[in-house]
Amino acid sequence: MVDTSTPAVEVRNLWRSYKRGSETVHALAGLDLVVQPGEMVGIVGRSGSGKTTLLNQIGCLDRPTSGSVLIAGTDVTGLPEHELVAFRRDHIGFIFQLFYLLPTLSVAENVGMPMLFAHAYDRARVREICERVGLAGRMSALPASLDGGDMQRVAIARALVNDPALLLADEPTGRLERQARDEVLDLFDDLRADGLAIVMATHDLEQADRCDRVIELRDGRRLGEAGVDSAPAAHCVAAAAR
Amino acid sequence: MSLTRLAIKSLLQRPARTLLTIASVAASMAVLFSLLSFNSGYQEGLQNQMQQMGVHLMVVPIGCPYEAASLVLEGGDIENYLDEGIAGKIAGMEGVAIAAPSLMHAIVRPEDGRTDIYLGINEKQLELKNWWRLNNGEKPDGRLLAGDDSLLLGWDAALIEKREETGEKLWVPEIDAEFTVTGILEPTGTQDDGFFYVPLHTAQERFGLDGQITAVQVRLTDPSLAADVGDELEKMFPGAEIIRMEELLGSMSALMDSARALIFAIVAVVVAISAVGVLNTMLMSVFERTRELGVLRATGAGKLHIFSLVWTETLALTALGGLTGLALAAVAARGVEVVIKRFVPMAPQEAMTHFDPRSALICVLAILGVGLVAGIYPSLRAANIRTIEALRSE
Repeated sequence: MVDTSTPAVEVRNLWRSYKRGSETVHALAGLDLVVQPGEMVGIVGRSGSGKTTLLNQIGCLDRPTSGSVLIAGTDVTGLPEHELVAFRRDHIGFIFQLFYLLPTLSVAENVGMPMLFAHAYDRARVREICERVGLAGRMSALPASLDGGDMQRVAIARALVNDPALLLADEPTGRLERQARDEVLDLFDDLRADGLAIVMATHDLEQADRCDRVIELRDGRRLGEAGVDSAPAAHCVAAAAR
Repeated sequence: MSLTRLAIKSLLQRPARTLLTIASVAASMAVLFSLLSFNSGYQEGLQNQMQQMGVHLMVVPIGCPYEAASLVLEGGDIENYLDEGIAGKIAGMEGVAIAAPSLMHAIVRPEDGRTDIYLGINEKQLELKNWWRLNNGEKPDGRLLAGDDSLLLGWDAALIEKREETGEKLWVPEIDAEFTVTGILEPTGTQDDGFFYVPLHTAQERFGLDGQITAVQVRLTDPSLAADVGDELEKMFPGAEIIRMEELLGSMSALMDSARALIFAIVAVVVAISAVGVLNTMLMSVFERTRELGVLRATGAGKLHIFSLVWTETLALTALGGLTGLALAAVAARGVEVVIKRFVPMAPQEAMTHFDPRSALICVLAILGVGLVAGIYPSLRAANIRTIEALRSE
């Protein structure tokens, strides 16, 4: 059950800096972001603007140099490694542009993998989630026999199987045909209607248009924000593309 | 769905490499198991052979005792002889149950590519070898040696001479003698099968060695008396060598230990190469699957999961290779035995390689040890991959 009273994501004054020789590079420079449950936020920006770095921070794959990240009310920045792993597994789902399915595992096995790591493999839950994303008839198929759209559905099902509060998607439709892309975005609409927060890095204009808000990043800082109640998202995407 | 299933499916991603690695582990395992089984069978065979002799001490003419013993065991001529009378003296000693004199002589037949060993014996020899049976199932007794021309054939000797019935004649032109077959012995699996047994006095007469013998085989009432009786015999017959069969067995074992040390050195190298092969395979696999491992981490796998996954893969590889190797070794055991016997000194005649559960257990533990050790480094590498870097990798 999604708690709608607590923000799904709360990022405060987030910095992520790297040393490159004698130079310090700020991939994220004092970023603030709040994403509410049921909200879909698009992150746009040029390559190197900090989109993926931000997703990695929110997804607990990396630790910030300073600042804080709260996921569903839990400050994850100070969690020890083993707790972070468990938190990520139970609260966050990832979707990648290239799907990253294991080729020798069936659809059902790919989907159920995160449950395996939680020591809670549940066939009924795997079937339920496969049905939810429209893969009920292909559960024993191998990824190689699927088209791009279905592969991304498998990846989405895998991300959802542990019932996360937050879905992080890095260019989720970048490799899909138009129809498959629309189907995936329709699925995202259904998911956020159920209260799931989605943060999505994208270059896709139409995809950004379907977000509740779009945030543009440049050099690790927010440049602008567009939303349904303000300027069109396309403005940000176009700006990012310049 | 389990971690083991995931590990096996991961191995199936690269079937050719997996099969080659399994084959290399299987080859090492087959060599290891074959040699261990052979070693165990060899020891057992030697023990059996010595015990079947029913002899605790052997008195032979002075000279190299082991050469003499070997000649008695394997057949051949002995240059020096003993006086027949010592057999009676030995028989009268305290602790001696049987003292059986024998005279060995070889008839070389180069045109047939063979050497026939004639052994002059008396009824004491039949008492000593109380496990001998005739091919009609009866126990041999002194009547078989009653006539001057009596001939008792070992199983192989009868086959060579194509004699199947008692009463058949055998002409031996080299000594201008005709013998009558009085019995054919059942096979014993020892060198006894190849001998031609004639009465002792006949052998002495025909070979021109009146009153002489080549050995006295002694059975004691208690084998633990061997050292004391042996010492006494040495004092009584300074012109004779006293061979304690335990010593002979010990010498044979020492010879075998040398061969075995060499064999195990080779096996150690083979197993080490196999371990390095497995290590290399798993390291390559980890490098190639960096992004996949990153995805596993991103979807909830902890370091311990990744470590266990790669370690399980390594163990599965070595276990499959090990089992395949065991099966191969079991199937090819006879062939391997034939080859190895050519290189090992004094190999017993009986079959030596058989499925020895103890050797199998040692092999399984060894190969699992290889898997455990070879898997540690790749597993640690995999577990410590940084997730975001792994996801970025090509």
